[in-house]
Amino acid sequence: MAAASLLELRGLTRRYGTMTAVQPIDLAIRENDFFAILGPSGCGKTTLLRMIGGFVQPSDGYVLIGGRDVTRLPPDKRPTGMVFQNYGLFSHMTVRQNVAYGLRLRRRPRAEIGAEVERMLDLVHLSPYADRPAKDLSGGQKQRVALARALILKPKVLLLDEPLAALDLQLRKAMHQELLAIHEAIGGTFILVSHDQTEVMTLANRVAVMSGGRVAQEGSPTEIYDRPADPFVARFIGDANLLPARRTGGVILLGDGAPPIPSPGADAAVDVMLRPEALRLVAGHGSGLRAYIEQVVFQGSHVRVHCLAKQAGGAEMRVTATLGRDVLPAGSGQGAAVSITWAEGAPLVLPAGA
Amino acid sequence: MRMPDAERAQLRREGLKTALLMAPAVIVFIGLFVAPLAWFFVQSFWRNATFRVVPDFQFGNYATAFRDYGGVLLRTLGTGLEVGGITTVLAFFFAYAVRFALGRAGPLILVIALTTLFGGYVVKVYAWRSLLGLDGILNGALMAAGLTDAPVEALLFNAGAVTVTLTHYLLPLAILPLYGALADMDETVIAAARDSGASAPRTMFDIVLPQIRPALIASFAMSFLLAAGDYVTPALVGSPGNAMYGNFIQSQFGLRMNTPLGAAMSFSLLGCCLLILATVWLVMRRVLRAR
Ligand SMILES: Nc1ncnc2c1ncn2[C@@H]1O[C@H](COP(=O)(O)OP(=O)(O)OP(=O)(O)O)[C@@H](O)[C@H]1O
Ligand SMILES: [Mg+2]
Repeated sequence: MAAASLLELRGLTRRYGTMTAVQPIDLAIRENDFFAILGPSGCGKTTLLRMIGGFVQPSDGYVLIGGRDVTRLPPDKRPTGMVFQNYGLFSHMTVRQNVAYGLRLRRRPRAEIGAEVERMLDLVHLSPYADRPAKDLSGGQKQRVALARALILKPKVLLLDEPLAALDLQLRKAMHQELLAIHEAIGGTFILVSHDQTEVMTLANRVAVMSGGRVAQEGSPTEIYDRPADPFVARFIGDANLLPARRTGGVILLGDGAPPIPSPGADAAVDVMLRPEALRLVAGHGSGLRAYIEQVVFQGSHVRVHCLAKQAGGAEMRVTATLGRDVLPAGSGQGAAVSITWAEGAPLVLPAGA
Repeated sequence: MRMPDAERAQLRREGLKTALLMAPAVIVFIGLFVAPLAWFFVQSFWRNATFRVVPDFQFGNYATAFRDYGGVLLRTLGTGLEVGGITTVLAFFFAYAVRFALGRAGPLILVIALTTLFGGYVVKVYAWRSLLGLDGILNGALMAAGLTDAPVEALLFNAGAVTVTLTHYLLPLAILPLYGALADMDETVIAAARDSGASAPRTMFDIVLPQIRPALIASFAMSFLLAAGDYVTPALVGSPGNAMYGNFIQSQFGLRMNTPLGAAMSFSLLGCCLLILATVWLVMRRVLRAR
């Protein structure tokens, strides 16, 4: 094995009464991974992170860090650090005291602590607030204190539970660069929970998509984006047209004018995924899926064009294309007839899902 | 800059509204609390002649309060500190367990503890009398278990019985502010401290206790004041030898009909109590501060 995994989860499970918040999960995360966990609200992301950090006892399974079983160790005995979704700042302390707390427990020399804290506060742009009481900060400021407080200890495994959710876009982008730089500098494994797929794509080199307490798919960001395992993952990462169709004799017909999509396998209902940016529009009904423009939405650098087409069975389906403004065919107002085309390899055939 | 007239009128109306709303409470407070207290404070400098009170301004009553009753005063304050300390510590552990350790059973146990507030104070004192007495339940159990042959006399009518009884009576009162403060506390804060590397006891001293310091002081102040000022419990379960200051104050106002001395003793006790509370407040602020 090239790089041994630093963090390993074996059959990690958590039940609350009869409800299973986290189904048995097996994961191996390597030393320098920036690992992202994506998933809808309530799918068990926080619970999973809290089990790794030692705040929630698993109902079953093991957590191994560097090959050592830490399942029964309390948080203060684990080489993990966590940025909590709801901050958990020490409200009776100042910003500086919050950030310094961990180093003070480690009995570092005073001067060293002071310098480290300054550096950390500078990094999260909080130096002017150093001596404010932590309880008097805004949500975004609190989040950055929480981030600095965890980062300063340079944990082997850093657990980030939506650490940037309360920041504005500008600051979030700046923090992305900082996080990448810090990861580069201190190494170790970062595990990030996020709802923001751009964030995940920017930061992570591995992604797990969770759903209902299970890992639906795990892989690199491009793998997950290009080859989602099922319609749920496809919809969750990026925009996706999921067009219902039937496979008959190894071929799928999407609708009027669409080229047949070869797809080996038994006859079955399928979903064909087409990313909006993979689609092109041609004015008039020529070769390509015949459709009518329903709506054109200006989105700054590009436009989204919602079209209505007919499935092979005759029912209507909506297809959305994302185009550069310059490639929008002339005269494509509402109701205009268009043909939707795509490159040969673009469609991905998925088992029909909800 | 001048305020626009409309704004000023608005402010005046608001002020009037506030004054009207507060008036009943203020009248009751002054009439039933401040005025009588002030009257007794004035009297504490007067002199007692046979069966009548003579206006004067002298400190003789205070001298007597500290000289003749100094030992009792010290013992009373000691009992107050002991009961206040024990009660606050027990109440904290109870509230902490209800909040963090007992899960769903917690609130139920809290309610059970608080329902004991419905039982009157004197009822509880008598309950302890029958628990600790010669033919009491505890002695019965000790004898049944074969630990003693004869009932143990040392259980009742001593300082220990006073402490136990007062602690039991004050416990639910002390739990209330502590539970309130702990309920407001975010569990994530504790998790974050553990995550930073603090052991469970460290977390307690660095994070939990400083954050609930006002409630700790409130619980201690309440149990300390009520214990130090009590005179019923020592009369019923204590021994005559360890009567508290309140018992002597009571007898000045009653049997001895020496209102000035009674008043002076009352204010002496009050002053000492406030001094102790101020000290406790300062110490707590020093010990339980952010570091
Ligand atoms: N202490 C608890 N007791 C009972 N159920 C819980 C507890 N903590 C979490 N759950 C349940 O477990 C499930 C997963 O919760 P979790 O907090 O892990 O979700 P999440 O993926 O982090 O969601 P979000 O994105 O909204 O933060 C939820 O259905 C939640 O209701
Ligand atoms: Mg969460």
